[in-house]
Amino acid sequence: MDVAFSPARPARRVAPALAVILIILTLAIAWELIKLIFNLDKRTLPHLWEIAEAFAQPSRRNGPPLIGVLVEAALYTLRGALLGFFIGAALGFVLGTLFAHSPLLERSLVPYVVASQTVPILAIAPMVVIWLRGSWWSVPVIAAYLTFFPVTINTLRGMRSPDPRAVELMGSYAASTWQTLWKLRFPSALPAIFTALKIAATASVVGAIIAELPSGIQKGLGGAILNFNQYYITGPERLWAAIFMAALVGILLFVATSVVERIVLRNIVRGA
Amino acid sequence: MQSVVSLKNVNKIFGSAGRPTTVALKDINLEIGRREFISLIGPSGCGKSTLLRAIGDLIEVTSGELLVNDKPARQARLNREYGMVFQAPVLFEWRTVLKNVELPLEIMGVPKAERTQRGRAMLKLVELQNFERHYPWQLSGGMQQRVAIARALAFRPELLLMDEPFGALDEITRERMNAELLRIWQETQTTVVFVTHSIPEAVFLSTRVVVMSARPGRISDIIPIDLPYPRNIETREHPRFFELVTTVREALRKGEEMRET
Amino acid sequence: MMAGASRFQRYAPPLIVFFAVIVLWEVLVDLLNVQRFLLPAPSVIAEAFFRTFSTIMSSAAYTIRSAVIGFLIGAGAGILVALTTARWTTVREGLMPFAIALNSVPIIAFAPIMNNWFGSTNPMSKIMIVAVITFFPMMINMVRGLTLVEPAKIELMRSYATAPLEVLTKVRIPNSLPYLFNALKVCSTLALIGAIVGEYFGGPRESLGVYILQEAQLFRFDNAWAAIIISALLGIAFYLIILAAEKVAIPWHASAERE
Repeated sequence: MDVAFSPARPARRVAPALAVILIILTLAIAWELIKLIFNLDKRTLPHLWEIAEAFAQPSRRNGPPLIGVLVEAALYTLRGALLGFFIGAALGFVLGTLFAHSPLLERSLVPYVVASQTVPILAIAPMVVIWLRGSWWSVPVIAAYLTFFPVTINTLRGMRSPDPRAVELMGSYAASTWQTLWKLRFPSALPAIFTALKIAATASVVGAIIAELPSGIQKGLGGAILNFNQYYITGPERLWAAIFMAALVGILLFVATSVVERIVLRNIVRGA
Repeated sequence: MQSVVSLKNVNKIFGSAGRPTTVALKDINLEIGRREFISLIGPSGCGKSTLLRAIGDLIEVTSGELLVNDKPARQARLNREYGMVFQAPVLFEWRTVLKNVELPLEIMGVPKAERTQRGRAMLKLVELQNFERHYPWQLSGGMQQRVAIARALAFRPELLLMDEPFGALDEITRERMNAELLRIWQETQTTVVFVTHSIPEAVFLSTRVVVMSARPGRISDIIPIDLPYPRNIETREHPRFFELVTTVREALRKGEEMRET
Repeated sequence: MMAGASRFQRYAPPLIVFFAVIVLWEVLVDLLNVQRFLLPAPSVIAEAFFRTFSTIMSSAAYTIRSAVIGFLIGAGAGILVALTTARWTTVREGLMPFAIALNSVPIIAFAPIMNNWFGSTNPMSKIMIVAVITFFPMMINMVRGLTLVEPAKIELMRSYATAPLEVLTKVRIPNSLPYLFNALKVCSTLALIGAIVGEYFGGPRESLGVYILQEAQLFRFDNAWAAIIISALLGIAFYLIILAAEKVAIPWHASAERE
């Protein structure tokens, strides 16, 4: 499966930022217009300000305001997602590097790496929960399961990407496999690896939320979504608020990865 | 002699207001006659590619008059009066060799039967008739460049613009391609404007060599090449060939010195 | 692919791995006396597979239908939006960072909303979530495919005084085809996952997601595993169909890659 997107070119800063604000405004207006034109009730589409208000109100009688609950849930989910992200990225990097060096391993195992992603994770989540005796670890494990795949594939591609002449040059220095790996293959693979990490950042959040669903973990965003889903009829804006929070976590992790990418690659892909 | 390309006081300045500007072309005057083979030669940054692109209306000139077949360059482009060959073959990797050659004909609305027939004729001209069903990646660099030439000639343009078409080829392939290009030029009766870095290539191919110098890009000399036809391998060993190579080399050096003083 | 690798060299290693894993799994489950609810032996799963095959397939039919219809809607809309925005640079450049940000949103979180909008037993609720999930990867990839064109190709078309519509059909669209198929491959996996997650938040009894969860809750893990294997096989089949379509549609690309 190909997840190798080409690395983003450095965009002009100001104009897109302005455009994004414009689009957010447009979407907000569109949201309210659709609500107005189709005369949608609160259950179908609450007002944006109703969702904003819901953040401030307590989610339970005498409880803390919803925003506090959701931030706490977001941090909880983020912790599992991050841990899964790092485990998955490390695993993917090791596998990709191994495959890049051994065609036999590549041919034996890559078909299964691809096939692993066709297994609907939500379906194996209950098994993972049982294997880990219902502990919190099922969250990072499932997040890692979604994360390792893009990193494996792109590491493999990236490690194979150097110009054959550059590999020959290293050979002419009688460089060891390790030296060629760290001085040539790894730097050449970085753009592809970061492309994968950005995909993995999102995937790890998806994985963490999905993992919370069957594991009975209440403290995270997955639990919050399940919980508020049950009270949708009486308070739809709370489910919307939880979903917005999940969206925020996904975007946050993606942006954070992009920032790291920009710093690490600033001298590599400039002008590319 | 009727002019195919006529340039009068042409200037091209890159850059916008408030930014440092580059004078890419300064006071260019040049008349190119029918059936001529003109080489533009000069150091990097002398504006030879810019001049070629201006003739093809791929960039606009800042001032001056630029006529192609007595019309503004833009009109000539819209009339599809010239073919272009770049340094890279720029073949469409999703098209077979024959389909690549047919591309301009397709765009110009030539009926299918005629398209195929002309495409095949062009491939025969560049001696690739056995490769029409191949995809570009299956061909060597020299063969790909021949496909690009066949494509440029497919709609029988009166003017062929070539931007260092053999720059990426090895010396042996390049000399063979030079000979082939001359043969094609004589068979098709086109006018050619040819950008190159190579002095022997310019001398071997041209009726006149236009020597340019950099910063600002301008024409520093025009050298007529009086080598007899047909030109072949023996031409390259002819004393007159070496004389002309020396003349062009000295003109290039003089152009550089003029700039330094 | 390595030059000169014979069919045997290509297919033998993965097959050997497959049988080695199955045998090892069977032996270990037996030796360590692993309880069935933890991990059933392959033979037990195989038995369940054949016993429940028709039941699972009738549930799977519902899920596949939602996945495929949603996939067609989402991918189709992604292609359309990319095609229409390909010409307006400003619209596209404003839209792209936004689309990329939205692509990083865990869209499965919207599944319960869809269930509330359309009703959890209405197939539209699953179709829509699949459509939304597949829309963004498709749109982003297509915009890239339509715009990341070698500049010399555009210059060549300009030299022929080509009309913008023809530049689109003769250069940009063919150029985007490899991107299109990559996106289709990504989307094929996402579509099945989306449909099954949608079912988790409530779906008809005859659906793969509900079936797997129900069997897992009733500790009938052999049945659950059989259903998981079937859904994985369906995912692989979906993927292979796209792979085959790619080979037919863009032979020039597949061949160039092999080189």
